[in-house]
Amino acid sequence: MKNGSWRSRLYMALVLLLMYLPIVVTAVYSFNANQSRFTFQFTGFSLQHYKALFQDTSGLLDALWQSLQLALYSCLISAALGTLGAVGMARRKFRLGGALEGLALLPAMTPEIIMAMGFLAVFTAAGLPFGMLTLVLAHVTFCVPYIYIVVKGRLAGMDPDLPNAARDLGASPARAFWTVTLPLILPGVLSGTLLAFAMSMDDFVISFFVTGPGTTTLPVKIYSSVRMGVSLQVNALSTLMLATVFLLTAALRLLRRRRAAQTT
Amino acid sequence: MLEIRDLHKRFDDADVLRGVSLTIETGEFVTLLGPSGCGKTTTLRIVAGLTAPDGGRVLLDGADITALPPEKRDVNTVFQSYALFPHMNVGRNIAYGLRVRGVKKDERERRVREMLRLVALEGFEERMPSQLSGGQRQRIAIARALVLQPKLLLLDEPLGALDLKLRQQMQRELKDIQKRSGIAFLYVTHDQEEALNLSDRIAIMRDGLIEQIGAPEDIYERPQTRFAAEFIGQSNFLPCEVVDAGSGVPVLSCAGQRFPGRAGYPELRVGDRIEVCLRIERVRLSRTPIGPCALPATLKSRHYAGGSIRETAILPDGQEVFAIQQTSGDERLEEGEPVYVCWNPNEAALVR
Repeated sequence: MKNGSWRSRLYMALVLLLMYLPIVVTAVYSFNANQSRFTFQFTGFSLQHYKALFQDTSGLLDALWQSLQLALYSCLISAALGTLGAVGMARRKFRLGGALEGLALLPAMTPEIIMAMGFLAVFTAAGLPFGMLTLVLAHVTFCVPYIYIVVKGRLAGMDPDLPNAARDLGASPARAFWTVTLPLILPGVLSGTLLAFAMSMDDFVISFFVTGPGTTTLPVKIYSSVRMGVSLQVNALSTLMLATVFLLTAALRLLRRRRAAQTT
Repeated sequence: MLEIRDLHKRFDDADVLRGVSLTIETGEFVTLLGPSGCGKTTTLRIVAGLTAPDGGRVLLDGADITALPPEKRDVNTVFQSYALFPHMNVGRNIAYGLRVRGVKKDERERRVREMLRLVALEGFEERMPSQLSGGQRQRIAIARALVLQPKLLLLDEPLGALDLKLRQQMQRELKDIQKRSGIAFLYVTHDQEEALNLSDRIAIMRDGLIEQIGAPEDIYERPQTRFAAEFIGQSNFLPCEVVDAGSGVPVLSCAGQRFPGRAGYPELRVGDRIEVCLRIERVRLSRTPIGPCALPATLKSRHYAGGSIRETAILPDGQEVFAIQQTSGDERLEEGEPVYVCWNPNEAALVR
């Protein structure tokens, strides 16, 4: 930015402002003293929405808890599946490898509403009880591709002879994986999982279709409470989640920088 | 010690190995030399257990190891990329194999130190591979493989990534390490100079077969095929016809001239078309014929290059003959003057 003229700086500032305006507004209103659900007048600073949120008067915290559980299960399962898939596909080339990979990645590119309809049809036909089980199954399906892609990219940058060297030095295939391959692709697994976590936390369309009584994820809960007017508790929760995400992202960046300094 | 019998391997539609057989004795340094795609690296990987052959056997000390996975073979590899584990320091890299085998910590540390001394990198335990130069990485890769005291060390173009000066220095060190450790080396390279400098025996490979195998001197002085002669050293090839093959010393004919060929080719028959391999440093251009092999020619060019003179002569049929001579000043030839291309028949191999 050293050489940027005031024009390019202004442009940059505008772009950033537009990108972050909704977030800033959300955060500001979470501190609004106004109780009304239907006006947007800022009447004063207050932490009352945070207080109400933690007392869980509207069930938002419970929904957040459900969403976190769902994201955790989906991420763990899809991290294992996606990583194994990427490692396996990288290790040996087989005839239909390309087609298979395309098929595996398709869920990430299919319009969500179509996936949602599909899940609904399949789960109904299979007679599965709608709830956490169906949610996890659906989320794993669309999370695996993200992890697969990121881990595969990481593997592509890895010398394929590294696991061979471990085998050559006497390690069993499992030991070579745990001591050499996994530590080297771990940053990829982690960032893929983080991406999948965000996808799962954020998903509304598919969750809306495959959720059942007693299980309400946060996006579904927010949607239903918005229909009855926006509770500023939603703003409070959003602000807290945003803060968490910012902190996590910063931590990840730091970690990456340290790792990069270590390996290059 | 190592015996390879009739290895075959296909990749997709290419026959990479078409029947490679080779034996290596304890403590021997054997080099597989050949152009890229000749199957030398595939042979090495089959011995290491990283590639399965389609046919043939690999025997180590008489035991068939063809079907054993790499971790069960008493053989270690120095990879072309070195394949040092980037997330482990030098000490942990070298100790990896010992740790896998359950060697105790004290013993591990002692043997790592011993190896670092062998490769002249004492005190490097804590360095990360990324902090090492190419030559240092290469030596750590050797140390990591040798610490397990394998019966045989496999090296896949280990000097390929180094610059020329370092390569020459590492050649000497490699030979030195091999002698001190007493372990047999199977070495893959496409660099003829490396092969000549390091090897006890060289196997020249071509299109999935071993073209010729022998001591460096053998390969250089008695190449059996034009390919082998071309791959090592620089040569002129004179196409000739055998006109007499009876009494030990064959008589050859080329461009209307007759001259004796090298003795020791009992399989030659009258009428065979062969080529005389004239090493450029063994050809002498002279105003007067020297010895029984002297073909009249014209000097085309003459370049003074410090310690040597490079000359090119043209035979009456238009073929060019290159010669390189030590600068000795006894005879100063002029470009365009008639000369004789002379050689000692015992120094010129006959190839097909």
